[in-house]
Amino acid sequence: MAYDDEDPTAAPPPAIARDDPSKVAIEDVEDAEADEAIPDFRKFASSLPGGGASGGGALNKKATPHVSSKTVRRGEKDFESHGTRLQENALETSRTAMHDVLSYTRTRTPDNTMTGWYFPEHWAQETSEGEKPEGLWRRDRVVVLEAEKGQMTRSMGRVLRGAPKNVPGWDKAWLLPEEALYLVERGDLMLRWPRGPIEDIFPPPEEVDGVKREVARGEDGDYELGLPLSLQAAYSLFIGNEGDRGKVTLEKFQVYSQLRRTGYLVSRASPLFDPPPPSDTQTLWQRLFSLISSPKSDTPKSHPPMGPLIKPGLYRSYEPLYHHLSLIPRHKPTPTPNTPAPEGPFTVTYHVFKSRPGFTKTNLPLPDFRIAVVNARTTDVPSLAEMEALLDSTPWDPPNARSGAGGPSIGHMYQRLKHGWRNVIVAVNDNGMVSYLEFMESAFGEEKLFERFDAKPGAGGKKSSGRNLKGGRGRGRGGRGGRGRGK
Amino acid sequence: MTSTTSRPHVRISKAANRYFVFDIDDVMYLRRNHNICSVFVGTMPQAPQQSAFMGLPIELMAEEAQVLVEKEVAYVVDDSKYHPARIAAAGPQDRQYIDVVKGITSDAQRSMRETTETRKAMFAHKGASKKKERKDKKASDAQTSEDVTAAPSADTEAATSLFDTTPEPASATTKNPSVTREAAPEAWLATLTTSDSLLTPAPGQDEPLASVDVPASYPLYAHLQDKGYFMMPGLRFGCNYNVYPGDPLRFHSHFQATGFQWNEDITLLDLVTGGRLGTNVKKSFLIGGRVEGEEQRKDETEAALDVRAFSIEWAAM
Repeated sequence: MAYDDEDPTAAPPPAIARDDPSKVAIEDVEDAEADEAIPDFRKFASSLPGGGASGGGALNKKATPHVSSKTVRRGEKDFESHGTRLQENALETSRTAMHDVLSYTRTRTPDNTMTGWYFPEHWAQETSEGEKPEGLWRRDRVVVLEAEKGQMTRSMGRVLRGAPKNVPGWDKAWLLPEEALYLVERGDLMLRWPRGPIEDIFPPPEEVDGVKREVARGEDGDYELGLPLSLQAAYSLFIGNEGDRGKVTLEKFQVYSQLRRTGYLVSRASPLFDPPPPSDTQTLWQRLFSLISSPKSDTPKSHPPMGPLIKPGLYRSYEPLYHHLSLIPRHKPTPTPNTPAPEGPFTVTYHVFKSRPGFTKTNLPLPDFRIAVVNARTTDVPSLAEMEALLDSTPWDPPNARSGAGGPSIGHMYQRLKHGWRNVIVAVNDNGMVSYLEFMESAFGEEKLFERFDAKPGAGGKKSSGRNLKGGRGRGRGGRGGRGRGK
Repeated sequence: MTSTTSRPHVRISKAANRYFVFDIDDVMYLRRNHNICSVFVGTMPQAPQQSAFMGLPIELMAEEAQVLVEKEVAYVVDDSKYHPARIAAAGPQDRQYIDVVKGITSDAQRSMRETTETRKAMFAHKGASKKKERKDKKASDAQTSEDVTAAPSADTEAATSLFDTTPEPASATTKNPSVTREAAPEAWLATLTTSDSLLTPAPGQDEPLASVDVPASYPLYAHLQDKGYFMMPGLRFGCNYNVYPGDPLRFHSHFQATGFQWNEDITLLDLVTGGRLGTNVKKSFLIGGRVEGEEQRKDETEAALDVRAFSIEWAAM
């Protein structure tokens, strides 16, 4: 069982209360990955309120009475068919359970459902993608909401503030294709195909007062205005190839919906949301500071073609020795790289935020993760140039543990190395199974262990385990550093 | 088991080179009769905050779509073109389609009302404790209206018959603390899973059916499929297909299969990697391909390609 970590049992547990998205605990990325690898049904069922099969009466359960979690996957799997009726029955029960659960049709009362209208051409004529975050990707926004309801719109849909007010639907929230499709899948959005122009649904403001343009509603009522669309229709309208306007690729949509299911908030990535690169004065200041603090420059000097790297002589500290030893130039991250912008699949697609109180889509915080989505079947391992371009497109984010008084401490070194100077997550989507890989720009050359050998033990004021060691060495250098807390 | 002959063909919906099946009856039919299970890729509307159990649609591998087309049990329609065109072209199907939606929503409404009434009767009868009631109300506020199952199939009759199987009021009441407030006077809304009635009749001869681009390993897939094996995408095991002796609901997989060209050189490293991994996960490494050249069987047909497969087992590790 433990070996076979694939679980094709896609049948869901039958009776689960709908989670309120606001109450969903946010898992770590690692946790999500572990869950994905081995979906243990029993564990899953037991983690739900009331457990799977026979929960308490107070639980809000769906009326799928014949399906219990046990029947979806009863017992362990078998090696092969042994032709017994027991086995046949077990399989038949599982299949029936799967059929029952998946036969569900999304039905809702109007007051807890949003209605959206599909107007793919409404913003198609817009030439700019918008300079302000409010109007971003307006050309891709193809579904307009009648009203925003519920928790889901906390991070989805935007009202295009820049739009002129005489355009119908200017004050409505417009959804991106992945948002619309995800809401349809959840059952939160009833998608409609309009029969007439947008003015039928959202009359221009000057006509609101008058009773003009009252669309005849026949016996079908609302259905005269537009056709309610199915999930199948939504897939055919929203799933497209890379670069199709108003569509999203399946792999991007799957990553989007998986992250949303896990509880993260996701927005399309835009350089507008990134903090500006650190200004030149700052780098200059840093450069000056580094000149003062370490007079020896980082670049290895030219060495004589022959002879020892360290010439015999009197050395008072370790630092010059190590500088003489450094032969190979090391990577040094810069805040203002001049690599070209990334192209092709390795481009940041989504900004991902942990769910937090006070999150508003109009004032996005800095994203917690930046994710590039690639298709496992059509994409090769990135080349160094692609990776570099991808990383350099993310903002400069040096490990902040460095900026502690008294220099970097060794305890945080691994943390700093892991954090990197820039980082990005690549989501590799293989037929709906997504692996998340984190890439960062690491600079091992920035962690100079030898500087610590010369440090005065008292100067840092930090208690570290290496302290006595430092003191001991210091004594060897002419008794400059004392043991203990300095004098 | 349903008979293969009388059944209408399965409609495979193609969008951006992906192949989907939306109808649960089709999905179960393929599973039972054509050993194709494929991967569920949709969010479960009943449990939308988890990813372990997924719902409709299923995404077929290109190989699966091709096999079904060749067996003449399915046809592929380019839905990104055809479907919007069908919606836009208003016709008599609209009427039918809207009737289906109306049927489902009114069924849902009625069933909700019934549940509410039974509940009221229950509470009046038993005099349930206040505490419990409050708890119920809280739960139902969070989720007002999801305790209704309806058939995805197009005909309302099926939907109604399904409702007849609702459990006796007693058990329903304990399990379904549904809305306590009055049902909204407005009509309910429904999103069907398929657009069946809207898309019938199927595209005629004038509408060219979409083609399927299959990968090079297709002959091996078709061969194993013909032998009755279930196959899932195998990239997680570093192979083309993960081969099951029966429905993966019930059985572990036996092989990890990788297709090769008949005259293709196979590096030893590939064998070692595949073999070791297979042994580690208690599977055999299976390679195979379509026979070419002189060895090829003379009676090979397009339907039954001459494919040979070999399984490699690690003797010791």
